[in-house]
Amino acid sequence: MIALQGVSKQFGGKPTLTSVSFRLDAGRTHVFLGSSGSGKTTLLRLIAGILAPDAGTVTVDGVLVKVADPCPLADRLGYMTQEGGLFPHMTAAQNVTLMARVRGWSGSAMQARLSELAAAVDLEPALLQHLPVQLSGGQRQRVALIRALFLNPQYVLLDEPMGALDPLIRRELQGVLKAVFQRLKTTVILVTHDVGEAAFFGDTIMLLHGGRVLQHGSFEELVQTPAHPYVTEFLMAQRPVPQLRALAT
Amino acid sequence: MSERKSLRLLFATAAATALVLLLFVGSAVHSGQHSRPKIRVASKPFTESYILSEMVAQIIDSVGESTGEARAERKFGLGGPTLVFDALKSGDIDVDINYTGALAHLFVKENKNADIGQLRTALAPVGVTLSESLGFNNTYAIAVRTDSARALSLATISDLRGHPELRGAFTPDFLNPDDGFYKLAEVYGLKFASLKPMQHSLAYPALKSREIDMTDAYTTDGTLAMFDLVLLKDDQDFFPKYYGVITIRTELVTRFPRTWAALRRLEGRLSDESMVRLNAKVDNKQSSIEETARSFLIESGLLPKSAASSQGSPDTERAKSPPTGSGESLWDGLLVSTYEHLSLVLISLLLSCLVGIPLGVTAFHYRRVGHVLIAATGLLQTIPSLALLCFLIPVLGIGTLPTIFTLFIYGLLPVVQSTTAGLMSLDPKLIEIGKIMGLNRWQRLRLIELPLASISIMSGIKTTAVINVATATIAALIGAGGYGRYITSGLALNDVGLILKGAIPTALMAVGFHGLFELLSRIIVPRGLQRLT
Repeated sequence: MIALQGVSKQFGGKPTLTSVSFRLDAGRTHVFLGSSGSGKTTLLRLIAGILAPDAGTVTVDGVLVKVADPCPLADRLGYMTQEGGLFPHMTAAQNVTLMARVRGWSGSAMQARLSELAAAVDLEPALLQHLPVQLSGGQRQRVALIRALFLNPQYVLLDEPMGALDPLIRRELQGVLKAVFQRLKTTVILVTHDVGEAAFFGDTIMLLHGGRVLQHGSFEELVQTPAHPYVTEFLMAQRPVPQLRALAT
Repeated sequence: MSERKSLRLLFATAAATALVLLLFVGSAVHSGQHSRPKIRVASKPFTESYILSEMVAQIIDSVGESTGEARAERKFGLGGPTLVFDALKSGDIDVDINYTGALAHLFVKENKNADIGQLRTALAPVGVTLSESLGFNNTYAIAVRTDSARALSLATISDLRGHPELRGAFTPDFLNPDDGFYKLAEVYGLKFASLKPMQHSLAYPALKSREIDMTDAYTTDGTLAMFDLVLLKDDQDFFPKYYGVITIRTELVTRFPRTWAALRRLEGRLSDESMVRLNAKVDNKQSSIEETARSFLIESGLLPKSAASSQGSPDTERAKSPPTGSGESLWDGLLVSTYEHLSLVLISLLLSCLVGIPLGVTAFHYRRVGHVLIAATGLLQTIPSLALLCFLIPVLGIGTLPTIFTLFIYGLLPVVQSTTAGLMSLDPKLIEIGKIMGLNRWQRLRLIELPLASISIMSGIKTTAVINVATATIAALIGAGGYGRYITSGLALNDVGLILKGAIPTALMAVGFHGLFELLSRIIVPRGLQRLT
């Protein structure tokens, strides 16, 4: 379980998070929803322990997170960013096995894990020998996902993992991710500004605005009992396309 | 290629280079062993100094062969009078040729014409003593074209008084206000409309082509006849006397008494005329320095007639002796010079990398230290190489060590800067991901930061290598050999062929290093990054 209590954080005198408190239950998928600048990514960095709060506490499984280099939770945490964050000088396989090699895994153990995850994210194994520049955006994100899951982490943090993909690939990858998360039963935190994506993934959704948590609950709760007019405003921000209504049924 | 493999390759390359160099240096040191103790004979890079030091070396070897006292090690063509005298004081060389006026200038400031007794007293505290005069007085003089001397009936410097229209060009040294041209003009009451500074090697051709009418010269200059020049008599005795003398470390006089006695037989043997004749022989390429010295010594009975043929010194010794153009084939000594030049460049480059890359990493992680480091290495870069060598003589002596140190210093800046710049250009997000993944500082540096910065670092190392190849030519001025010996001697002897014998291999080696590092970049820089560029 991840818990934040009264967490505030400023950057250059500008408050990014103000008195944020919440609990995220283990084994579920939690979505941080909000527009850019709402403090979503800062929350991820606080939880990962690479950023210290100005006030308040962050605890993971009841243990206070202290900032350290490298990240104190590293082996229990998978991390993936918008562009995947793959190291350009390593092949896909080298990228995903990096920490396993540092931790001294055997070659056969790595190979087994690699095949298992490649199948899980539906990536052609031959592509693992490619360099990141040789892969498409969707392939890169699948590789990044394998890397995030490789050490079998308890927690997976995803920072707008599909933000840079075009709609069809995005939709396909969303399906892959959801299936993987359901199977692994890890605790997932997914940061997005896409309402549809939040509804698709989120067991709970936390709507952030201006560094404050406006509402934390299920998607239905946000829709039916909004805690603030902004909640409804944000959920309805996407312009409906009436012409498509007929196609949906 | 994986990041581990490329890193391993980097280390392996460095280690192999170091090993090969060590073996080379080891074997070179080994081959230099002889039974007789050596006397290190220095010369400065001009014809007269080469000839006289060669005579000294031949006498030492000749005495050594019959008595077993010593053998000569030639350290010829060392740069600058102060540099050589510093080396004599510090014991890095043992004997060389000096001039009384120059010694007086350094040690007896109040008396420019101090006699040899006074000079001996003045030099005693630094452990150096000197012979009596060798005979000739190689002082300053004013040279004019023979035809203008005839037309204007110029025979003495006083005769210049009525000719303010004559255009003068003098070496920058001679144009100093204390004792050079201005003092001379004051003493003689001379005035000229046009005066400019000009290097010696340019002034003679300029005189010949009538762009100037007079310049400063030396009284024993061997090239005066070739340029059709005459010297004007110093009728008011303005110039100090510059009698040639042998300067030697005092301890050697007692250690090698027979050698010293033989050397002193040179005293009074060389008149102004014979010195001019010997200089001319070499300057006009009629005879090599070695032969010129040998035949004079044999004629004067200072060497046995049996010494007429070359003594067949080993190749390493041969390379240390002055290259003279005439009597020497194109390839003579080139292999040894290449080896010397290459070792200087590679060893200093290796040091620059071993020190510079960690410094660059430090400068990146601690920005404040970084500013100081970059400023400091930049400052070191601005010290003129010869000045740096002079500073180093008391600490490191002369030869290979100070040259490597100098090149190492010059190589630091490009390596430090390219390392820092390479690291600064990295995407901070990638570094953060490394942190979140659990890589510690050292692992991030090794696996992420250095491989990603390798393009920049390699280009810095390449710059250093190419600069070092060029800068290593100064090694000759401090007795470390290399291609510079041909350039220095060529400049001193006005021999274009000899200059090219040094300059062309230097240029080729620079091009070679450029290509080599392009190739190394392909191997060391990860494949994923090469596609990006």
